[in-house]
Amino acid sequence: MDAVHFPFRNVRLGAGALAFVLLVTACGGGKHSSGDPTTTQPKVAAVKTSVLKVGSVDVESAGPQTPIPTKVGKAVLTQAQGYLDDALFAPLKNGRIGATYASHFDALVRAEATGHDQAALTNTGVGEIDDLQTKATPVYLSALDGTLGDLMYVATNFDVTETGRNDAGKVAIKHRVELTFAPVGNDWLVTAYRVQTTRTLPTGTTTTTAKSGAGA
Amino acid sequence: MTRTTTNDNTAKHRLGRRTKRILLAIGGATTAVVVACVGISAAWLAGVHVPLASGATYLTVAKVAPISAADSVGGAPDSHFFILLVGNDSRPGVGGARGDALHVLGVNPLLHKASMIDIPRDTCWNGDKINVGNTQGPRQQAADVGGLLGVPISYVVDVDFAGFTGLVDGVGGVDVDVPTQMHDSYSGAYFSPGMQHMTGGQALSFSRDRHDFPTSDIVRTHNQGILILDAMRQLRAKMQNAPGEFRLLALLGRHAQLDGIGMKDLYRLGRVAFSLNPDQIANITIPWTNGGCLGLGAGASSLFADFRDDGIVEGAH
Repeated sequence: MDAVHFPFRNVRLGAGALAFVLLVTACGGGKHSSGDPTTTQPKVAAVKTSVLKVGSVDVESAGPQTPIPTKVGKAVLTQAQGYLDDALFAPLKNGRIGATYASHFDALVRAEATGHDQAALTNTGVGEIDDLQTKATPVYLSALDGTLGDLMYVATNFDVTETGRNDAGKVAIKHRVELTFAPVGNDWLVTAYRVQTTRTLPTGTTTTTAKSGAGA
Repeated sequence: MTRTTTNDNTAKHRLGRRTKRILLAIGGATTAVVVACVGISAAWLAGVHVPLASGATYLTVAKVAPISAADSVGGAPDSHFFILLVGNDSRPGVGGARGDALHVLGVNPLLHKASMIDIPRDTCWNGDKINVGNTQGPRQQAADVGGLLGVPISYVVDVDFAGFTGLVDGVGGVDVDVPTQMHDSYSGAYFSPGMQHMTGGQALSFSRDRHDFPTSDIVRTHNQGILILDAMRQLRAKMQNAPGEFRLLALLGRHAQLDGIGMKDLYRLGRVAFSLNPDQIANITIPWTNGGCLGLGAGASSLFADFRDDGIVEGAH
């Protein structure tokens, strides 16, 4: 009668509560918000280049959010800078596009970029100009993560202006550049683009638009 | 003393057994939790839809057949292709998922043109109504509709009632140009003619209303086409730059069950689809005749042949 009474009922309740807590805790490991939060500001180390610099960053995700790794941000910015130098600045400096121009594009758009879109994507038609001055806005980096949080695309949006003179008078060129990059081996190459250019030359003003991935 | 010792031993024995039971219960529960979580995680990683992890599923996107060689590596389609849009009637209390809204979008990337053929659900196919095919899944519905029109369907986008309303609400509603007065208690469609902003529920009512029209499902089918093109106009406006494209694709990726198609395919497809101007997409309901189920009317064969050759119905605009 004086035997120790073990509070089994209470302990069983306690065990149940513990199991519940474990369930909630364990399953909460893969936290996902129930809403549709899509925009984050992942930290990307500032990449110093001669012209382009990172401005704001957005990542959209169909699954877990993964920020843009610094090395990817650098790779993308380097390619964007390469495009800028080869396609836009080189023709104004020496009358020809840079030798590595085609290497910035992946196989899906290279033919377009070096074919019917080349005139709109580059300054080849302008010729050399003197007193060249350039400005570029900070680069807006945006990215798309897949359903497993894998980084699929990174896009760069920025504006570039070039001013100078040729024999006939003043030259002013404005570009609205969007380059979308996808991984190709160890590189990130341009897989889609939208580039709108307005050229104000002594002979008049023209606006051209090049957009890939929507047919010829 | 002896009696006391026995009682003590018995109590200790009971205590030990209870402790064992408790430890076993905790251990069992922990193991079950771990196994369940590992299983769910594995399933999720394998691409199985896990509601808490993936969000609500609004629609199914299935890739039925390859478009071209470029398509296999994620490139933009380089020839015309056909997408079947299905609205099925699956909802609580109504199973079967018949394809009550059937629309085939023919897209020609090279010409930057598209046409849409609307198919009334009561259209005859193989001795039955054509919408029955969807009860066997989107691929069968694609085979039936493709057979009727004589075109290879490459993609199917299939949505049920809940998915449709969720999808429309997810993009903030849709502005629809209502062609005629609607006052239908069956569908709940009460609209005046003109541009109306609709929630998901209202868009569903608009899409279901057939009692307001003498030709019933024929007009309803055409109205569904109007809604699709109006929605495309608004989505297209949001797809004019990469951040906008990524935002919509992420939304789609979170709420779609993808069958045979990846996010890269969707990206390429989206760039093509939304490069088209919906104002220049013809919305054509197939010619029909009355009967037990709708037969094909005069001109159907020539319409389908015109649609088949390049995805475009010439002269519709």
